[in-house]
Amino acid sequence: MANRDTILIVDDIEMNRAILSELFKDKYRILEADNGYDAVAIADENNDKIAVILLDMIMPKKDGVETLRELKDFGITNIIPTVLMSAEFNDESLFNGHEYGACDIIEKPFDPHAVLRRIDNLVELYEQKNKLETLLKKQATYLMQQNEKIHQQQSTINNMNNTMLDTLSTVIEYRDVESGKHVHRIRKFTEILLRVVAERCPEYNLTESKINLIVSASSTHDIGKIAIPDAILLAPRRLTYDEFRIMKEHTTKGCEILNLLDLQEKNEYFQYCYNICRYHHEKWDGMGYPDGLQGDDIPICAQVVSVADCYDALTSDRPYKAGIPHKQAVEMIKNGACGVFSEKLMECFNLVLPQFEELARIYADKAHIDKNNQTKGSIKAADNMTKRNFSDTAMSIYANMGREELIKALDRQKQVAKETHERDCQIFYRINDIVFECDLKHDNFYVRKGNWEKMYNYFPKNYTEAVTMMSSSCHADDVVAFKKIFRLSNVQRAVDKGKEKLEFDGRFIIGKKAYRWYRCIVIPFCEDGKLRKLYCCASKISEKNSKNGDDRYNVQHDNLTGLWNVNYLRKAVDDYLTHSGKDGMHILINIDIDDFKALNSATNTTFGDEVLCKVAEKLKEHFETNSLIARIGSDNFVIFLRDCLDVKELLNAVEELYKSMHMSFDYLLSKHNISVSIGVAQYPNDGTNFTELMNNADFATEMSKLRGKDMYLFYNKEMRKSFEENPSLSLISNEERVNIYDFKRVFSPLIDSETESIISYDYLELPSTDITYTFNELCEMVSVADNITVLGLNSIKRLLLGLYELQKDCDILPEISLYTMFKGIDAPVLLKNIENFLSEHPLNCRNITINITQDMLNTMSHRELVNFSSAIHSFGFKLGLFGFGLEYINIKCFSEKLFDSVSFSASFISGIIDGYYPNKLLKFVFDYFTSSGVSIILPYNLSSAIIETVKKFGCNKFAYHSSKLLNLDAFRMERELTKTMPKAPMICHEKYELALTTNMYSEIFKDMKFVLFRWQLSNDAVWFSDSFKEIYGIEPPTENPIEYIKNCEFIYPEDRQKYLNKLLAVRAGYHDAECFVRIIKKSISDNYRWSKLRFTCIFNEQGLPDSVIGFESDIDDERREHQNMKNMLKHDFLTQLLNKDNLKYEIDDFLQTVEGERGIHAFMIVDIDNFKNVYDQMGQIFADAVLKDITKRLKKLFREYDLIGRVGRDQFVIFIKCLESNDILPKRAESICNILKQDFESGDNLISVSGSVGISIYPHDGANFDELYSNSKIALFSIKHKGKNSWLFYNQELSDDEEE
Amino acid sequence: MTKENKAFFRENNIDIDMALERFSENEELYLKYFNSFPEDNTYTNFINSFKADKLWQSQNLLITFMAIVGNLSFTDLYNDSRELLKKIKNNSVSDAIILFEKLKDDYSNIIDFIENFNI
Repeated sequence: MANRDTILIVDDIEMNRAILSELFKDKYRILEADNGYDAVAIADENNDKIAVILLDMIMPKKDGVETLRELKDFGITNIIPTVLMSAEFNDESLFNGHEYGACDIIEKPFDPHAVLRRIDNLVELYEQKNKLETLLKKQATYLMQQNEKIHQQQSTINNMNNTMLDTLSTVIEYRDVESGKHVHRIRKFTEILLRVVAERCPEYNLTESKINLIVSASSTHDIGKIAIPDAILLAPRRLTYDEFRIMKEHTTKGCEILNLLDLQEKNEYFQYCYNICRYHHEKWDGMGYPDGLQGDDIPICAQVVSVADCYDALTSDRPYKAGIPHKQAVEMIKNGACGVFSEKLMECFNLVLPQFEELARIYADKAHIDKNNQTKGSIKAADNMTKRNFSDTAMSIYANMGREELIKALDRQKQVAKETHERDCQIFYRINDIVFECDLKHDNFYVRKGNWEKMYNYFPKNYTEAVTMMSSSCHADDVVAFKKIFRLSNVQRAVDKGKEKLEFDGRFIIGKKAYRWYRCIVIPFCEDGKLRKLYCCASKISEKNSKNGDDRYNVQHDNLTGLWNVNYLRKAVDDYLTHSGKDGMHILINIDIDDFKALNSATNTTFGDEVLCKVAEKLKEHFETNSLIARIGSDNFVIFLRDCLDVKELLNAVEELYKSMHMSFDYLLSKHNISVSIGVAQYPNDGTNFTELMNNADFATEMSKLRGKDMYLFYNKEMRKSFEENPSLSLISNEERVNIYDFKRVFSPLIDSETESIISYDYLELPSTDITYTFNELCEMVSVADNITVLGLNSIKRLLLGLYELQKDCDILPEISLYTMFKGIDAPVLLKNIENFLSEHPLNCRNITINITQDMLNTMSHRELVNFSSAIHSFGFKLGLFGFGLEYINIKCFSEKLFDSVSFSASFISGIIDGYYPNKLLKFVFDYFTSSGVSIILPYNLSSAIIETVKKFGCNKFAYHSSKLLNLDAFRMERELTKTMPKAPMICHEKYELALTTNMYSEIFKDMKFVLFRWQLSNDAVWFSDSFKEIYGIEPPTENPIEYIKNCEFIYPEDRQKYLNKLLAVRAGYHDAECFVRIIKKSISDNYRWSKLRFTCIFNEQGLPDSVIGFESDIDDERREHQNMKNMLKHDFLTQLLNKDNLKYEIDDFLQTVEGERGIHAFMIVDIDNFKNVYDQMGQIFADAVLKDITKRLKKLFREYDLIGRVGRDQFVIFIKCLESNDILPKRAESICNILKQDFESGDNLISVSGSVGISIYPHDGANFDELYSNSKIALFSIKHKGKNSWLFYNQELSDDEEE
Repeated sequence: MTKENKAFFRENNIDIDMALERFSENEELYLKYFNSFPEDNTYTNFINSFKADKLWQSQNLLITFMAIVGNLSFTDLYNDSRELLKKIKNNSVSDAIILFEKLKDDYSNIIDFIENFNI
């Protein structure tokens, strides 16, 4: 405490001060204040001595917070810790205290030990803090001094650098250290001109420091000349074209050299050097080099140096020329002889002319001062002039020459004219694409740049041919404008009007690629006012830069993302597919962002737009320019990928796209991940025009969404077919299950290697890690995929290993079918592997069926098959055939019992359903199966028709598979099935149930939610599983179940008898029975729930009934779901209106009721006119939305009691029940027509939609749905024929007309 | 201070040990302020402002009063004033009045004690 040894105690209560003084008196000198004013004064006066201030919060004159604030203002709280004291602190005072710099808070009454400790700590802390700050200040001062030194050194280095650069530049310019003050002059000219520019053109923001840097950097402008050979650089003559081309490279070479310099960092100075070096030959009108920059795209530093360089070049001697007088040089610069400069810069240049002249004089090179060279200089100056300014300026110079000099000058002028021609050509060479020259006088055509032949496969002889060829590749919309600009008469007219060039922006298709935008420039050259030559160039431009691009751009593009819009995409795709893309393989990818609406609601539209733009950018990055990318809906993007070389490429493209679309966005504090659903359609397989491809890709996208989103699907016809046949079954597959299980989903299409077409499947790939499966995992696996495809030997082994483990816990293995895809694995290898496995893991294989595919079968000879079958059977497995179809099969293998089971291929099943196969043939086949004891495995989602067919042929031994490829433990299976759908008994069910003992039941069903019982018939004893009490809430009976059920209160009274009947039937010896009853289950609710009861009779050795096993499971949810599903199937998927079949059923049903039979009802068919155009031009998505909207409006027009159905794509039926009179119908029909009358804009087209209504009346025009429908249709056709957009009642005459 | 005296303090709910510790065991200094407590007008000012419904002012005076009685270790008075402060802050007037009466009683008890206590 050398310096700060004082403590200031501020409190208005003397006692408080006294306590603290007493406490600190031994350690500190005490200063006291009884109010805030005194406190501030004392603190200020003793700020170098006070170690801490103790400040009372509540004081009468100036309270603690006020005092603290003042102390802070004085900067005292920064150096002296201040502690607030009070008996009570509230939030506000605490906040203010801390805000104003209080370090600590001490509560009254004081705790002396705590106060002492805390104050000591604080003082020590501040002491350290102050020490550190002092140290820091010292260091900062030291650093500043060091910095100053570095600056000085830097400045010295810079000066050295500048000198070095100056010297280097001079060496470069003249290859001579001694001669030339060129660089020095450039610096001076640049500085003078820059200062004026800074003053007059504030927009360039040229500060003093910038001017200094630019002046310094100006020395480097020609640094690239070091790379130019002496022969060119020092050539005492005009350069040839090739030499000039090399000379021009000094700008870019200079930049390369600068990049190589080891500058500490690429700082501002470097940037100026670079810009000056590269752009000091650029011209305001874009005719300079190397980049052809225009206007203020050229950095101002380069513009200024360019003027300075020009002036110096003109006024000083060069190896190839002598300098010209100041006045002439100025004239030449001003009239554009040295290229065009900005007007502003020229204004500034005007202001500095005297200074330039003076400087040029002072710093003139020795040789230049020699006045004897004046004339020579004049001649050479004239040489440098272009043809254009020759007549204006040079003649005035020549006028003063002698004869000899004049002849010499004229000779050189010829040379100049030739060179000028070459130079003019140069302007085209900076353009990337095609430059050609047409000599109209001699009817010749020359290509100066670009590979014309490669592009057009033919070299034109003359201008006419060239233009014809070009116009053939020009887009239809642009060809008129193209021809106009290249028509010679038009070019001549333009020349007459004084135009120097003509421009045209248009689309050309080069090779087989897409249309691209080009800017064509035609520069005419005349002789005696007649057109002699045309220089033409066509350079690639982006569409937005095209002249008429703005309007067209807006019409063709999506405003937000800049991608194409749907109208353009449709046109472009259709154009392409009808012309150059006709024979290729292309795909259309439809991308929909998942849950975008939710994202928008959770964030805001701006964020949503940001996401869309990001997606668009990603798509642009992802696909090369050959693809068409469009945004066709809010979150809907479409990509048309042209000319996919092969399927592999296609798959990779889609896979990569899918992966790249997983993006994450930050919004406020939360992270939003997006995923996409993708649908892909292939040309020509899935459609031959945009509409077809789009519809199918859209369908695949919808399927992706319905199946759980975040995936891609390739469209195929089967997909649509199966969806249309049974929408609900198509959808239950993946939605919830894929999210639950952690298996890798693979949505890769399978490829048919022969045709290279895609067969779309989604299947489950087993995890690649080498793991075994527990029983539960096996169960889970089969419940998450439509197919378990065992792809390789390892997968088979892993499954078998899982079963081996399972066997340890379970005496009898469940029936399991392994479906193998043995492509690449031959039978002997498989057998060897299985044998090896079994030798180490003895497995009871009798319930395991190895299924081989028809493909594998086709690769085996009959003998091989016999051997394979016998080997498989010797291991104990069963052998199944998967994908049986009549196309391939050698039915003999069944008669030889090579297979135990067979499952049908999809095409075979379709054939059976469609009646494709003759009954005789089917009977023959099924007879074979029956007689050989082969089980038939059918997909469980088959319609009852196929099951009936199979039964009809006498096949009763069949089971189901598909989503359950493994037949699990019967009881567990039962549990699963009650959650999904009713299932026919399994083949092995009886055997399996028999195998179970009562003890096993109780063990297995400990946690089950269903009830099991065993009724021993010999003693009438009954045993129920423990779940009975848990589910029904009462104790189970132990005997006489018949009596118990009769009076059982938790069974719905009407269902008790049903229950008993079935039970008694089984007791009497029926093999099994089942029924559906309603039961109250206390464990779930107090309401009745649907349950399924199944009874199986167990026979004793004499074949007499021994006992009955019963099984009750809850199927309420399933039944409801079933009901919903039925309901869903009754309705049109899009509009939720009744579909035709159900409408027919409802109407016919109603007409059979008393009310229906006796009433008068109207039957209206409503058809939307021209709706096909909406589909075709606006797309399915839009058309669907329109249909939904129409449905909504129609519903509003009619009572709930009336029936409305959708019977065709754009056809509705309205059945108005119980009319009091027909008078109301015209008005209703009129309203319908009004509703349907709408216009839609599609690009430039207007699609008008209207409605026509045909009406028939029950009972007058028909007695049932069919009659009414047919007559209404006649009326409808009649009104359509007459001009649509109206309505008509049916009458007999219409029928007669139609017959005629 | 004798043991008896200290016991007497304690009987009157004055934590004399803590108080002396706070005053760095300087009995003389403590007694100086103990004896001059009746002359301190913070209490009177508080009573007046409380009766005049000047809540903000009475709060501040009560806090000052708390600090004084707290430092002198008048436990009852300190507790009373703390409770009262809470009620005033919460605007619980009826509760505050009850506590106010208790504070007055305890205050007069302390005053009696100081006046009767002569060292």
